[in-house]
Amino acid sequence: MLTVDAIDTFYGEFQALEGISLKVEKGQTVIVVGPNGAGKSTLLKTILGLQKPRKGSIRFQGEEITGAPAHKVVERGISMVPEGGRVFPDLSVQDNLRVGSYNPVARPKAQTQMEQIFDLFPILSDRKKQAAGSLSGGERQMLAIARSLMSCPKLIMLDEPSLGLAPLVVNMVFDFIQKMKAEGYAILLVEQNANKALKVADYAYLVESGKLIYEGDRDSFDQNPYIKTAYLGL
Amino acid sequence: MKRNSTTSKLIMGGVLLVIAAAPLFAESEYLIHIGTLILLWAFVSTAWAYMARFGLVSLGHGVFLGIGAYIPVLLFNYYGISPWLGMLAGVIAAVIIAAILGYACFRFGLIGDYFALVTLAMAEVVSLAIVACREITGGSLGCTLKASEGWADLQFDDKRYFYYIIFAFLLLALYIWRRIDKSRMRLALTAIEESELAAASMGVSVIRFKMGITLLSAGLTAMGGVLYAQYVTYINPGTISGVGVSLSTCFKAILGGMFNIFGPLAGSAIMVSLEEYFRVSFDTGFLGVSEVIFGIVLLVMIIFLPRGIVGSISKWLNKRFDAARS
Repeated sequence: MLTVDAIDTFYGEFQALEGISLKVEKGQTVIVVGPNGAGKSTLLKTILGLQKPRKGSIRFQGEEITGAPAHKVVERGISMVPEGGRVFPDLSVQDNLRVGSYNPVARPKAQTQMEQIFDLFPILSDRKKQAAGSLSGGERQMLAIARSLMSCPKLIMLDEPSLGLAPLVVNMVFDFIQKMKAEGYAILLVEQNANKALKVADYAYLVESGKLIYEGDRDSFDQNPYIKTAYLGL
Repeated sequence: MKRNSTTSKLIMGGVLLVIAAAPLFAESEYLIHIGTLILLWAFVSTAWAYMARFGLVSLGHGVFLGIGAYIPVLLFNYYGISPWLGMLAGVIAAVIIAAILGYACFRFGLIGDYFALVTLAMAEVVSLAIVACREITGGSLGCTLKASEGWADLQFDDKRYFYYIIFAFLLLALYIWRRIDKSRMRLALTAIEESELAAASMGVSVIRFKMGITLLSAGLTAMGGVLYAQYVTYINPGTISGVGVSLSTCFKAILGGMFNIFGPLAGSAIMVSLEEYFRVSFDTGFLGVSEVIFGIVLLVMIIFLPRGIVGSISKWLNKRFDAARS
């Protein structure tokens, strides 16, 4: 479904990604783990078209999307939940969701999509008129995920969804990711919390300072001695 | 909510009615002149607030005022081209400059203070360019519009004509404001202001929306420049382009409240009236007194009433309504 092939991304002279390749198949949950500053967020931004890769190619559903602007990529069916959720604090919950269905593909379905989302997240339905800035941290992350569903994506990319949340809320977020997986969405999840992320993963990549270090399915990750000590704390 | 919006519609209608009827009761030409200036600056600072209320604070709208003022005047003086066509030319030129400037800023992600600084520099560039083209523009001595009369040349002896023409332009600007409020553009621009990254990841085309509002604002501001030149019939780089007029445009909107549709109008009414008052009462005895006072008032406003006068009043009224209902 998504094929990233040997991309290099630079910020000015600084190389953030070096020859990264990865694949997400339909309905699969793929995770990318790695320390802070490894280039995980840059990877997602490059896929979405917010950063242009200097080399390599990105294909989604058989079509080339390398260097396409973000709004075109979203139209094709990729959405992203940015780090920290980044809900729009002054807009109401409802308006936040509306912004999610801005692209012309999703716009006609906005109403039905919103109803489905309110079924899925009843808390948001109760607060739909409330400014997003008044929600709790967990609710904001819910809203951020819900908002990304509004664009009718086929692939959802999540950037550190557990960042800064209380352990109980983190569990809630991961329950949600499970739920989305069950609904058939393909998921690309970037996380520092490797323990949690591996539990939902079908396939995993390890990135360190912009390079791919290791890849494998959940079991091979669990058993790799380096990953065990460095990332899983076992 | 319902009650609030009916009330605000009534207030809105009342204000516009008063403005429309005012010349019928004005005793002197002078008062009509002041009224015309108020409406003119209200039009310009409303156009400025289109951008500013979404966080695109431009300190360089003098660029568009200057272009809008000079192009039609020069076309008319040298070639006898009607100021209506001149207005078209001026607006197109302003929009092109805005497009170049806007694209350069937005493409490279210049936001907030940095954007403001670039626009501030641009205001000075255009002002200096006008001075430098001395042979054509008259340099810093300014340039007088050739006298004429009638609709084709957009010059009238009777001040009432200008009053109502400029009022019509102000109505247009207010109407567009309302349309923006009801459109997807408002949501998109609010989202962009709050987080460009999040808006972009939702598929909102950040550059396109920012360009849209910038070009709209620049085009209307240029129209304001045209109207100024036709009304005052004398233009000068110091008064209609450059940093001074750019900043006083912002002051008016901020004073009245740039988030409220009537804020720039209220701000212009207050500032133009006070400027006149100071000018008349201090004459040349204390030049610059109005700038000093406005500077202090602005500082106080930004710290204590960031929503401006109209914005603060309407917020207070809303609270009263909510309290009365519960």
